[in-house]
Amino acid sequence: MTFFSWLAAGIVMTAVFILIGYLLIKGLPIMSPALFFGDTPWRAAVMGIEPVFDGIYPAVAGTFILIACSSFIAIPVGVFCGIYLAEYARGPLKNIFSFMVDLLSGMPSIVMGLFGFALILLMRRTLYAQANTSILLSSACIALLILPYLIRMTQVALESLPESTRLLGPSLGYTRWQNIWHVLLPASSTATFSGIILSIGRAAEDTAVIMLTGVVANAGIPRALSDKFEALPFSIFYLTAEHRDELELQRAFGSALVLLTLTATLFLISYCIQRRFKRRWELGE
Amino acid sequence: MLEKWIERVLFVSMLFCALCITAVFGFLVYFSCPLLSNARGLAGIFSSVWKPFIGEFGILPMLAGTFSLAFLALVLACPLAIGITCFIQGLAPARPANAVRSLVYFMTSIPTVIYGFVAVFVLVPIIRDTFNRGAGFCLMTSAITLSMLIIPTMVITLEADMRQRAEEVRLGARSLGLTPAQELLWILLPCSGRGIVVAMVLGFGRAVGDTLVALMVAGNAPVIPQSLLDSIRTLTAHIALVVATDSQDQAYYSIFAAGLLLFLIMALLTVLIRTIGGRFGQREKRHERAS
Amino acid sequence: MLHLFNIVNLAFMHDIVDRCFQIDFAIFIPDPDRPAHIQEMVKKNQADSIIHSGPYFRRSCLMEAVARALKGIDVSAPQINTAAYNMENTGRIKTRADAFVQCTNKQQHTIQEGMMKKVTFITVFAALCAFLAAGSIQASELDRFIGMKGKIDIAGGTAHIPVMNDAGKNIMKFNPDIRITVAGGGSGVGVQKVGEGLVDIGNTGRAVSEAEKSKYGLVSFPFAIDGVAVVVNPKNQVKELATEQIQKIFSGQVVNWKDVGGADAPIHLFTRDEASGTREVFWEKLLNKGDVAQSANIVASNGAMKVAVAGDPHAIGYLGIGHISKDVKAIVIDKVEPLQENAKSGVYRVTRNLYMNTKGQPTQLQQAFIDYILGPDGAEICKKYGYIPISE
Repeated sequence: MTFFSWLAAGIVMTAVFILIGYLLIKGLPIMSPALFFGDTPWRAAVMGIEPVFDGIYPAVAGTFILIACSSFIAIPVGVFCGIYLAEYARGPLKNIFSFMVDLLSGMPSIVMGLFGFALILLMRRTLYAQANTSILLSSACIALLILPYLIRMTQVALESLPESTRLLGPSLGYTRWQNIWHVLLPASSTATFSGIILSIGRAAEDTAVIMLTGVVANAGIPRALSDKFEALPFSIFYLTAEHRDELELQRAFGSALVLLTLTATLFLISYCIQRRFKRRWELGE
Repeated sequence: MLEKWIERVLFVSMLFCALCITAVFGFLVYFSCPLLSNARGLAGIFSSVWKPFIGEFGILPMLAGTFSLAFLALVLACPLAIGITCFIQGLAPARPANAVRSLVYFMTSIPTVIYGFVAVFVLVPIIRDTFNRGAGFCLMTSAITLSMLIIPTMVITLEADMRQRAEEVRLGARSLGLTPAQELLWILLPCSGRGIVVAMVLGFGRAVGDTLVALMVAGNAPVIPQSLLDSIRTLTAHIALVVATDSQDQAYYSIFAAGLLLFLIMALLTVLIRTIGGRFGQREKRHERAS
Repeated sequence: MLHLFNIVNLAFMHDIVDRCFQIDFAIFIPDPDRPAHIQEMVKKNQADSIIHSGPYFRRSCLMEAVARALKGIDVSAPQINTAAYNMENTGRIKTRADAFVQCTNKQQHTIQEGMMKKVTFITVFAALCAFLAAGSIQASELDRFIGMKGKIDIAGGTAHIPVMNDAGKNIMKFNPDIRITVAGGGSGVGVQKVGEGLVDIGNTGRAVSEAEKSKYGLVSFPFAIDGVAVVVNPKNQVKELATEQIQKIFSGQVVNWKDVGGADAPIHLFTRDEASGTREVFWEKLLNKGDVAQSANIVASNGAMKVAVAGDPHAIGYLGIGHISKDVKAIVIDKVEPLQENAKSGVYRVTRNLYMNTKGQPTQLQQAFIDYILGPDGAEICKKYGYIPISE
């Protein structure tokens, strides 16, 4: 049994190292401003003065804008729902809502994309005939996708606070909301925050949703919420399937490395926050 | 006064989430209605022929593809996941155990598309050249890639469960003179049956719902797989392909039916997890109150 | 007014003349040692001024020699320092040329009446044109986009994507207020999306059917001819096949390369999705509406087909001729080579037009884009990517 567990660990570790190693070996030599900006000077590109062709900067910008918009929608709603589930909901209502959140979290991302697509079809037939897939729709669908993570993380963070902390507020005469706002939320803030960061990572890497709701292979930087956009994961997918020459393949490797760096960084930040949180509590208690 | 309003606001946001999920379900039903409402349509959807050009919209091959891929990935991932959990939990000294644990946690942050990407360039040529049959884009390749994807999920769930149980039995096991390895093998593992089942269901769910790996690596031929080296298409990849590339209305109804199927499968799995794992949750709370 | 060019490179000069209009001038290549030659030419052609252009400009002794030679002629000889003319300075040519024009204008007053001849001042632009050779024609083509704003969403046939991308790039560089996005999906998706109003221009690699035309009210604009070739990996020994063999391979009756003259290896089939115009043309014209094996791998675009076939030594698929590069090998079918010339002349049967479609009459911006593609610039782009513009 011991031998088998060593073997299992070895196999998986080798696989991960091959994966990351391959990306690094093929991707690092390509890293250069030309990869990002093509032949446009970088200041003009970042300012949005000149469009970027043959570079992955629009995809990077698109991913960031997507993350920003979806976080803007999802974080308040997610945190509120998490607070509600942890503190206010009781009995059968809590079970129902909890079940629905579980259902939402288990949903395949492509079904979420399908939902967005169906929404557009419906809107075209009934309310707003000009409806079209766009970065707004993608952000909304991605927000829906990461909502269950946020809800769960906030709920777990609040519920795992020790009893002594929970009693702190009422012992001082706080009402329920005051307790939440002044005591519980700050106490669980690091866990919630790390949950938020993980959700952002999830939003950045998802492909299936955006494929159906507005991402295209070439679009430049979106200037309005109703524009189509580019994103890193879709660029990787598209370039893998149809690179026309060596240059485009290199761009695929560059995009892959950038995306991996992005999600890895977000993960590391969240991990460090969690470790600090644990240490604080361990020392404090 | 403020209290009441705040509670209302929070309730409304919760209601909004619940509404969204019902809306998803509702949309799927509404759009697949025209095809499912008549018996001929229903039979058509569940036929095993997908040839939209001549009017055959059967998604059964895709259903078979999804299940075969998910099962195969699970079969590959389960022993590895259990092995790694044991490794982390007690069968290895602290340093390697922590390193492996951190790495597995890190694996959860690797995007799915990257797994598919590396598989296309590294794994597909290996499979193609080793077996000399099939183009390399097949059930086996995608199952291997997918198993790598679901191992972290399974390990984390299993490990969390085991760790919590280990807390309970630690003192008792030490007092009996058991080493950590013996504690693991003789006490924890036999008790973890339920944890293993939950981890398996979670892994299976993740495998069913994954799109990119199947889209990039599985070949996308709409046939029922008959060998490991056959090219297959899953429900998820089918939806992506049809929306991206198909144009007829009938085909659209079929993808909503596929989406509905996926939704129902995942709902079933969620219920399963809640019933099995629900007893976990209760045990946790009881333990907390006791200590 | 006649201007003589004292230039070293005759071909260079011919180039300038070809690109400019309404210029009379004599071209000659003087030997720098014989400024007298210049004098002669000036007298003979009754020139008004002399523009010097050449790499030896910095050598002041030569300039002095020229000046001495010209002393006998009452002709102005302003100088443009062409040594500094290079790609980076092209933006400044206009100003220099303007200064030159002003200079020569001022000196015109001193020129004798008898030397008046009809020449326009486009000589100035000759220097400009020499450096903006390709750009000059393009500037006039892109001028139709001056002052326009808006966006064009394009989707549909994957064969069109490189052409659309390049055209979009040129237009967006010229006028940043216009945004052009390009997506793929296949011809069927192009029809559907433009019909539903989800995109502005839908591309198809096949003619729009009557049913589709009447259902959506589409207007079609063919802009290029493309052929569809059968492709295999360059490592594959097979070079030519008969139509029957291809039909048997794709229907799954023949499963090993050795049955058609290749190595002993299984045939890996690749085919396109249902929305593809490339697939439809291939199926109708080469397979004669025969079956394609259900177990074939499906790829979603021309580009993906190329990647798949290039990466697998035993693969076979079909591709628009415009996409063919050294990564794949096109098969000679029934002794006819799959070249665009053969496609155009009709010798190679499996061809189709590439169309742009709009719902109803195109808007002003869309019409400008369509005209751009149909114009000489668009034709250049089509040729660059291996298609034959329909205007030829």
